[in-house]
Amino acid sequence: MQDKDEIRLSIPASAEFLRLARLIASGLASRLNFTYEAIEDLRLAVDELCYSLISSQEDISNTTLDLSYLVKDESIEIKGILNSNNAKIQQSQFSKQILSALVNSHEFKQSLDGKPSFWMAKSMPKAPN
Amino acid sequence: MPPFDAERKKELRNYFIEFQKQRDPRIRDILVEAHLGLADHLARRFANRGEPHDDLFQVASLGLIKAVDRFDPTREVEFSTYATHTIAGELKRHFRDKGWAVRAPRRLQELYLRLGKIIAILSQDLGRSPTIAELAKEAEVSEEAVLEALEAGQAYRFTSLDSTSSNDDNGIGLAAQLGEEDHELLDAEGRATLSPLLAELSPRERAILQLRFFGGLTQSEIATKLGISQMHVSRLLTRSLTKLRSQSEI
Repeated sequence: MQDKDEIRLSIPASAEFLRLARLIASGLASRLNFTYEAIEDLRLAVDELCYSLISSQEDISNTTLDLSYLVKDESIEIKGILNSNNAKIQQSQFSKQILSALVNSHEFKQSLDGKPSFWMAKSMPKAPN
Repeated sequence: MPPFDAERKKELRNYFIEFQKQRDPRIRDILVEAHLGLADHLARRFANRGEPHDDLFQVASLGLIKAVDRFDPTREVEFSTYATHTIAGELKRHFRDKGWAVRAPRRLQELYLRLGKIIAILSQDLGRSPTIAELAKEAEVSEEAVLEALEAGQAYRFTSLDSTSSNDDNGIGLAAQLGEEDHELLDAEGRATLSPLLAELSPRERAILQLRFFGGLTQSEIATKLGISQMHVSRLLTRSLTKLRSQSEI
């Protein structure tokens, strides 16, 4: 495997398609030998992060959510951007708490052109072979 | 949907004012019936997503009833505008809750149930959570199949399939087992927002949420503590978070 592999996914910003976002995350994590438990955490995190973006805007019809997955040697990083300029992220304290239990680090921010985005990283507490 | 003429509008407006005062269910029926066309129209907008129209119309009608109940005619908002928002919210929530679960093929559902047992056995044998590759080997299926089954099994609706198999929502015993940990949850502000939402969860769901996100326990530690499978813990977590999200938005 190369040092860094990047996979990109663009989906309609709707909960219906988050399954794909989760599947890609779990597929890549499985490739890194993440355990079942770590993968379940990752999937919950992807859900939480993506929902936060999607729900930052009232009307999400015709809006896309762009995700990019960066696979490193022992960790996976995921970035998400909602293609909308009139959405504002407001992360609840509860959401912060959930994510801090699920991933190593995460943040939400407005990208330079005003689109709401997230970034997260999770590394593997490696399964001994 | 044809718009109402001015006279009909006025008539309906009077009904709304009357309903707000008296909460008479007969007036409510009149108002709901008068706007069923709007529910139908919105249900059709969501039609091309693989759900039968009748189901969607039913969901939309429930949204319409909510809108009639909550509408305040003294505000400067048209009922149709207000109701559109409520009904669309209800429809979106319907799709979100159902996800793809309804359409998960039987073989994935079966594999998911089988994996639950395999995860328990392997976790014990290995002394840690198994990897997907290990699960695939044991179940004699591909890794993709394992991942797909895990995804399908997590979905909201599916959970009813096997939730009765283990003493789910055994509230009293569990509350006693865990003590009064609710108070440790968040600071005052967070508590205020969250507690009405948390009240909607079963004691078991609430306890698991708390142990995982506030007590810092892993899913397998929680499983051991509560004497249920790790898969079940994972599913209950997913379900609780989904419930919390859908409530906090509407």
